[in-house]
Amino acid sequence: MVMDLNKCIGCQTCTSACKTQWTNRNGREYMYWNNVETRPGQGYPRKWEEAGGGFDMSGELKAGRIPDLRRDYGTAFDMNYLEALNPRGDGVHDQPPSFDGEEHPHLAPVEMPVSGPNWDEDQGAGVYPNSYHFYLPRICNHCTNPACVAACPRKAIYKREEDGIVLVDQSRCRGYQHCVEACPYKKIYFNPIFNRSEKCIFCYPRIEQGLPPACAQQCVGRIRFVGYLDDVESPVHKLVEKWKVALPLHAEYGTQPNVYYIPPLSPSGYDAEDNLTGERRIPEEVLVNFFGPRVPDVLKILEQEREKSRKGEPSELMETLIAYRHEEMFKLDAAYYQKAGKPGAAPVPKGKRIIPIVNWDDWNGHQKTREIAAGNFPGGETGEVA
Amino acid sequence: MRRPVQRLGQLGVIALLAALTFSPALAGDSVSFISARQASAEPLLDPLGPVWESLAPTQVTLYPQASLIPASDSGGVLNASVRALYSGKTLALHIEWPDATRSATRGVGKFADGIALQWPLRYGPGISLPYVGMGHRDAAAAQWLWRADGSMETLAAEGFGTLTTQSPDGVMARGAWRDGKWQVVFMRSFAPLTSGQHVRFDPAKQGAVPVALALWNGDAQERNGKKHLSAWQVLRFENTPANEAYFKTFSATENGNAENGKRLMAEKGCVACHSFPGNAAQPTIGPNLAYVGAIHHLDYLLESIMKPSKIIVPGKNYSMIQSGKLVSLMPPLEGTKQERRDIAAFLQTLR
Repeated sequence: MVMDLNKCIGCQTCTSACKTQWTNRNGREYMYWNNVETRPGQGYPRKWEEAGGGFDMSGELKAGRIPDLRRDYGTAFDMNYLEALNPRGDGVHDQPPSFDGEEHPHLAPVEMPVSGPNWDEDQGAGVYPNSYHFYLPRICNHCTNPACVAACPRKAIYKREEDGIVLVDQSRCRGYQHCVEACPYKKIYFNPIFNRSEKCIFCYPRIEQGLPPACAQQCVGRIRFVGYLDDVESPVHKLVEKWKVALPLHAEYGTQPNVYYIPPLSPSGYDAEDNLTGERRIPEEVLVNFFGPRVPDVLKILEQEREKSRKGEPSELMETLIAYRHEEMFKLDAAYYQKAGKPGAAPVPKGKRIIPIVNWDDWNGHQKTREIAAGNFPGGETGEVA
Repeated sequence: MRRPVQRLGQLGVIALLAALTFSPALAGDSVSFISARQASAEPLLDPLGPVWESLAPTQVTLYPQASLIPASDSGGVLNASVRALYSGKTLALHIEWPDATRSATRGVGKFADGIALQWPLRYGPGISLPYVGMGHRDAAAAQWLWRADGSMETLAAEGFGTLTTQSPDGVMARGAWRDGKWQVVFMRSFAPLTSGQHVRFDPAKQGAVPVALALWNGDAQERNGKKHLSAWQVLRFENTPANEAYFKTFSATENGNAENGKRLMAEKGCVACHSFPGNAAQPTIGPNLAYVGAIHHLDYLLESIMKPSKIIVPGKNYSMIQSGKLVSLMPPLEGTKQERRDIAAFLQTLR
């Protein structure tokens, strides 16, 4: 996948698409397989770049830590609707506290959240009028050398040979969370209900039907291009290999990520007399820190091609980036999966298709949670004496 | 619903009793005979039940898992007190161990305290016991794992990374955390509930069974290989016949020259790959040898020196494929019988 950061408006439609599709219940509430964070900023989970993981220069896994649920990920919170809006229990909530002489609580979260995805939205950096920020949408990078795979002692995580999608085998995972420590992008999450790790599945059931992931399909800015690097027809190939304007995020982590970013250009800054300086407002070193030393070259190419386009000259790069048609942005091939031995080879049943992202036994077990709590565990009686 | 005042009174007496009737550990002090008392009544699934206080505990020492990464870094040995009972068709074990903090939930970055009992599926003279760390290929070990979040699993493995959930065998477990100590009772009928890779007990025919323990300290982020483990111990059913000679080999010691063995470790090149206390280089090519003298029986140590490829830890880069067969990176020891014995004697000092 290639994401053009020049076009991301931070609307979180991708986040919503992913959340409603995959992570809105059953222990995934806190997970954002797709998130959009404001940069410069703390990111999601908070300060993930300081949480370790990835590989060192000799190819050894580096130590990492598991983000804190409340402090770093931020959890879904409940509001005190009943206390604030129905204080007397009579369904009437039209009296301000001073009216009946009683103090009623204001509407507020029951437990104050301290962090969350895009917590520092639009804060960015710099001093007005030279303040700046850009949006960084992130999914699992489906790395060529995944640290999560290397860290798993059970070989429960695998990279599909046919398309490179990295998946967690829910029947092998035992919830050790070594992968959570190891992923330098912190894009693998522990599900506390099923006690197993889960992650972005690149919407593989959609991919197998020749459809792009939900986040790419729904993107209103059309910033996401999907295809294979070695498919010369694919915009991904054009942007990464041919024009070389798409760069991996934090390549120094050593995992060889497969999500590429086109770094953002920015408007000119102002000097003390409010005159335009002609300097890009996002300092180059900020972008180099994310996308590596080729950022200045890429920005130059983008500006040159944009200039060509403004003069009415043809520019393949600009035509590609404008993304007129979805068909041109997504080069996927459903027929590829219909060949024998491929995962989508089985005929697709009519009507609703059940897509198991959780082990069937886990799901059944979850349905019986109450029974387990009552001591009727399938292995017999268990628990702790209270 | 306990009676704390009365229990406090009992505790002093019990402590005294325990001190008097303490079962001495065998030579090598990392292998103990855990005596299972024969009882007429069915045992109860109650870790705080009075019956346990009437039994003498056997101390089992558990050592940090140091051989493989991820290793336990909480350090130090742990002592667990084990008591056992059996009735007409049920075995019950009570294990007590110190843990200053009760960690009873699993969650994001949170791990629960836990205990596992491990049983070999086959054992006896001429049969190599499963590798004590989760068995080895063609020598499966069965595990009962109880965690402080109340979960209980029946598992089996043939080496690292092969742990597999088994069909329910009917094992039950219940724990209690009191005064900085966990007490957990495991209970199961001799015959497993369903077929699968389960341990079977038949005290009338086999009066002793090897058993090993593992403990996880949740607040030290322990899970998986971050744990403490014991050597294979012996669970001895009272008043039943057993092959005493066979079980004596568990605690055999090598009376070779350990000093010379230490010298040979350098001379034969062992120090190039294995870390152990006293090896300044701390290489990571082979497994770390810290505590091997306490965790492994002499038979296993001698076998590993002579036939390193017999038991291979898969997936840890300690092996390679040679003409289609998995072989250890370690060459068999070239040396005299005495040299082998001296090295084994040295390894037994690593505890």
